[in-house]
Amino acid sequence: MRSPRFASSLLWTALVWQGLVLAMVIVVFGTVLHWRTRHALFGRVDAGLQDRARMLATSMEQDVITGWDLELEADYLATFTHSGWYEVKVGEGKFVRRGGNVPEDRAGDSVGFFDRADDREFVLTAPKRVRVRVGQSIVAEREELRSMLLFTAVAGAAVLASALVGGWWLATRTLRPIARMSATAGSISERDLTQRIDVSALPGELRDLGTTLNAAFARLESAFERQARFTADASHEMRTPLSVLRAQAEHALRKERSPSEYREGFENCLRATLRMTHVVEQLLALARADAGEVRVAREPVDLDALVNDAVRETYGEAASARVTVSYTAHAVTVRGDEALLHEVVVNLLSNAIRYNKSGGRVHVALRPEAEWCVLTVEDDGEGIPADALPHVFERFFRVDLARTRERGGSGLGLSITQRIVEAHGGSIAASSRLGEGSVFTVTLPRNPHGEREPA
Amino acid sequence: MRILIVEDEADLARVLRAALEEDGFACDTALDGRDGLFRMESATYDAIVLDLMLPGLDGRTLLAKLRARKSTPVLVLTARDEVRDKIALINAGADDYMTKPFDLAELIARLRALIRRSANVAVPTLEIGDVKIDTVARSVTRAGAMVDLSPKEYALVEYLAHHRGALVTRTMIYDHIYDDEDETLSNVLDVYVSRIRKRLGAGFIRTRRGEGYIVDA
Repeated sequence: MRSPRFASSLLWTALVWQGLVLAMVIVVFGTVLHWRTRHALFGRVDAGLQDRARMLATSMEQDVITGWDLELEADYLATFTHSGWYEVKVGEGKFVRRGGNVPEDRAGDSVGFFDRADDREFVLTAPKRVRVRVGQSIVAEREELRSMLLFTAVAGAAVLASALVGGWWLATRTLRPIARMSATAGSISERDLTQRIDVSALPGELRDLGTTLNAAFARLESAFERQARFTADASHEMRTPLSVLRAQAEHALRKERSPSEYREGFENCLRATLRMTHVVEQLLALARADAGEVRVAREPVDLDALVNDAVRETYGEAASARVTVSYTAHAVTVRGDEALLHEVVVNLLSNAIRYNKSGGRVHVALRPEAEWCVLTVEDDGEGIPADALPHVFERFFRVDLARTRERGGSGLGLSITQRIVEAHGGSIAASSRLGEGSVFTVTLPRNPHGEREPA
Repeated sequence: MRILIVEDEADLARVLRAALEEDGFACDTALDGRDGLFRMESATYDAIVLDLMLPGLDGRTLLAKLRARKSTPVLVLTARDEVRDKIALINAGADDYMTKPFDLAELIARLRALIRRSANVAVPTLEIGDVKIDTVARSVTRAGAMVDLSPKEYALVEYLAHHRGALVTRTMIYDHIYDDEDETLSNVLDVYVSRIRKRLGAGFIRTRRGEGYIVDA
């Protein structure tokens, strides 16, 4: 709200609309009031004029000897000329009686009401060519109307102004929580994502918005945290083998050494290099998956053959760890990327072998269901502690740092496995009992994304 | 001088140990935090090289536990180079830190400086009478002439010189110039002392019978 652009400001839009509507109401109200008052004022004048004209007409009497005469008291007639005038005529001026400041008769033969400059005039004809004209000044009525109009205009303007000021005050008050929210949102930056909008201080209508924004900030914060942790972990993962390389090279170069010492040094360097290569490859795979670059082929894959291959491939590893691998076969075909699915099975298998005890067992089973294909890899190794279980698919998460490192794990294998399974439209879950073993369950759709079998 | 290396990366620990031993340090290594703590508490080290990311017991906790009892200089190896992390480390009691990957020669120089400081010696050259000890070149001269000493003899001279004026017991000497894997004979110390006296003068090391040795009381 700090720099509202006039046209796009909520405050100004509300005020302009409020002003327009109110002004319209005031104008309509004023017009109606004016019209009604005018009607009432002139109605009274007209009624008075009609009464007087009739009185004059009925008071005319014709006598055979004296002719026409107006039988009205002079006192009474005097009230007619108080602020007006009258004229009674018979024929072409046979009898005329008038009082007050009578204007010239411009009406001719017509009858009814007429407006003059300052007067209102009423003309009426009676039998025997009697013509009665009465008039009254309407200066006072006009003055009253004008002053009322002025009053209405002043009052209307005052009402409009106070309504606008009140509206502005109310609108700024209403908009203040929004301004506060936007200030909070504005102060949330990449460096400080911990701030939140104080929802309890917001009016009810804005609370939902505040809660929604807070939830978005929380998601943003955790995403940034994950990213930062991932970067730090990745850097640590690279720095350790790098420091082995550097220290080893520096040590070897300090003086002449025996061939066996050089040999040992190079072996050390090679191990560090292999570890770095492994981490880089896995990081690259994850980065590609994050960027959505993993193209999953949709070819029919014989899972049974694939598991058989993987078991054969990890045979050496299993034999040297003294772990027996068994497989409950079932012919299942899924659609997907054979190389990637092969990685999934090998990853799970070699994990089950690596974290097993000597003499342990690993059991792989394939079970087709109506629309899904379920692959389970079960071991009777050390198991995963309950508090670590929800994190096993997180990048660089290790149940036991020392154990993982000494057994050559990078902490990325399960993350990659999960990404591959999800890219196939499937899901992966882990369950475990400490000391009894773990089960990893991969569920793959048999026909992902409803694709049809080619005819 | 006896150093403890706490580093979970076995290859790195091995190279570090080889380099430090080549420079005359006695070295022990611990591959996880728990073993590190056990060694720190059971033996006396002149300095400790500590990796932060450790299995079992992380480096920060280890540092806190050590600082509750001992003031042994600690050089921390960290894979993170955020300023905030470094400040937190130093505030937690670390005396120095190095970011991986580090320079081996720099690490050794920093270790020597830490050991000097903890012995209240500021310069790398010690002078006792006409005997000069250069702790960087690890050489000893007497009246300007180079004196030929075996590595262990040199280590003994340097250790005694760092504690000049104070009584140094036989146990302290064994604790600081040998590591866990050295096989020591109880009378080997007497042999070293008599050889040093022969080269640096009979009065260089004085014996307090039944207690230990003193240099330049």
